[in-house]
Amino acid sequence: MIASIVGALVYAFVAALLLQGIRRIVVAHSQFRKGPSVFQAFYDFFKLMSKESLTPNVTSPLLFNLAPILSVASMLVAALIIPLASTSAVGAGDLILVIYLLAIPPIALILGGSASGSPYGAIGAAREVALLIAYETPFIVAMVTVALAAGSFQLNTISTTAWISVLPLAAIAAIWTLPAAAAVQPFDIAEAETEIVSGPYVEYSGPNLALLKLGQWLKIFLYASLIAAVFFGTAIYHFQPAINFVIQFVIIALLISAFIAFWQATTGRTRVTRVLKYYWTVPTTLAIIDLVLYLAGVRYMHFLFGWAGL
Amino acid sequence: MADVNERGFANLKVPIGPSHPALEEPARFLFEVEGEKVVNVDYEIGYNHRSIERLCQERPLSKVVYLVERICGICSHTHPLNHVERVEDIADIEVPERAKYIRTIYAELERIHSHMLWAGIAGEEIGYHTLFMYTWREREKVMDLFEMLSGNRIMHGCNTIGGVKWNVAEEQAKSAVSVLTYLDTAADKITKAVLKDSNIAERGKGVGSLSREDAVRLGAVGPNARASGVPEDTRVMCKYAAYGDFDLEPQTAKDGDVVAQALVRLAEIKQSIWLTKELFANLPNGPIQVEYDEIPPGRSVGRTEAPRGELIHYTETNGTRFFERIKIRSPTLANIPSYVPKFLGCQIADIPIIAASIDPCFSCTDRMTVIKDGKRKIVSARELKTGRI
Repeated sequence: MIASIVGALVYAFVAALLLQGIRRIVVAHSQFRKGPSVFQAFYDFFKLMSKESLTPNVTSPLLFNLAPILSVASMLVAALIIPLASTSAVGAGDLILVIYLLAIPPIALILGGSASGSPYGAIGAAREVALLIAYETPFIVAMVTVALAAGSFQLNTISTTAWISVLPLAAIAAIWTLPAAAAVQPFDIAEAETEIVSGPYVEYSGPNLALLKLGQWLKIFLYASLIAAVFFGTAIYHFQPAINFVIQFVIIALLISAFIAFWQATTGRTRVTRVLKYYWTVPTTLAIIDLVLYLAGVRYMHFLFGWAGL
Repeated sequence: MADVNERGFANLKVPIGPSHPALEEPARFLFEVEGEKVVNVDYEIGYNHRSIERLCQERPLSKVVYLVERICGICSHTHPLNHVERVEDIADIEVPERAKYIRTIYAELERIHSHMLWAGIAGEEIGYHTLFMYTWREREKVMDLFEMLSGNRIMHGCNTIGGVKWNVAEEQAKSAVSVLTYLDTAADKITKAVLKDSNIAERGKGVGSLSREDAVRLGAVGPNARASGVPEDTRVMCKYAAYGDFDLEPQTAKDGDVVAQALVRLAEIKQSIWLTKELFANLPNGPIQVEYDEIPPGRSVGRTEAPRGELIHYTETNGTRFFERIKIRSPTLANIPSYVPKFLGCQIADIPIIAASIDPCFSCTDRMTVIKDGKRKIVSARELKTGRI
């Protein structure tokens, strides 16, 4: 039990930071650059941890200093619940709890940004709220569809099937939310360096900044892990644990390269007003179509590919 | 701190600058925002006063060329070009044809790299880093071209009173033309991206619009005015250097928004590439420099087209080794008032791209700053006219 808990935490930490390095290299290469070392996120993290944390003269120092800890703590709990490469580290694993936990890092950003007393932080927090509402909607509809189809909210039960083969539209909707969850271009509106000087992060420094960043990085990794566990379930948990880890890492690295780094390299930043329209039209509709079709008893994948034995 | 609007909410005041990632140089904007919408704007320049005009009066005449060259890192040719033309005008120095052509070649190459720099920065401001990386990679080719021609990438040291210092060899002209042919295709690619990319259209169409009336009323110059449909180009109007030998059409657009600004600048890149090739092809033979004796007392005022617009130099000599007075009006100063109609009603997200859209160069702009009782003072027009500051 203890070994699996420590293993899951260490794996989540290393993988989250390594994936940031991979993402940055992929983006760099598509921009004709060499890019930083794959370990750059580790260097950044440990360097920031060794520095001093400044608390500005703000309205709520407690909230300001609590936000980074809240962000990382919630992600560490989520790392134990999401089945990373085998079953979940602490047992059953509940989908509703995980969705709730994955919303904590953005909320921590909103709290920290509002508490920082800076107008940039306040605007960044407001934008983060809009972003969160926008991408959570299709994501939750997709997840609920899968849970209904699986007849359970237990992740260990859900991940015994690769649901992408049954509910592909829900899978597309969920994967489509990845760039927004990762807050990269075109959805880096809450940070928007040239507009609002990285928004909620603006007053953070040292270990506080490191933890806030770590929370975001862990969130990207775990968000992709949840999608992998739900939609590629059996593909991951089919083999020996060591191989499972490799397969899980490769799937998430591919998801991040194709759906985060690619978007980041090929788009500019969009406007906050556009994000709601964007996510509430096509991705939400896709997820709802799958939900309605499933409830109506239409198994179209079976109809289309039934001969293949899916 | 905040005023209360009609709905009873306090408007948030967002300061941008003097030091801000969206601004390459210090300037201060104070935006009053209602939600994400800008309802009022105030701007303040004067953070980069370097006392250039005073320094010009304090060193020997022949060394002022180098000082003037250092006013701006991007317009490092058009400033000294204007300056030496003023002195040549006062002393009646007849510059050889070949020197005029070489001056024009440098001026046009400068326009190409400046507009490419702008396109990259505009991409950066809307978070489009790939566009930034791409245009700046192509811009590097122009910088290499400068290095090949003059030995320097930024400060070419090309102009001197009575001509130019660097001649152009046959092989240099040949390899320059091949680089220019490559740049032509690169400019086409960027133009295609600006026209086709939905992301750029979303962030640029209708953003920071400046009507033709406003452009004329506020005295906008350069690409900023041409994007609003004012066909005003100093190269066409004044025919300085070798511009008299070629027929140039001012490149204009109608909307005056960010996309129009981009299209005008990209069309000018294409035009400059064509003109530079023509200049290399028709380069006359002969000397590149003439000697001159004394600079007599006199005064001269003239205009050149910097990449950012109309640049005015006023020069006065008094027969000694020093200048009596030099006054420089950089194009950014004329373009700053057009910020107000551009900013009003825009979204916070559009502030950086609108700020960048006129291609501001604040350090070239600052000519004076008033410090009274240890504090910076904003001087009103009336105080300036009466002289009681």
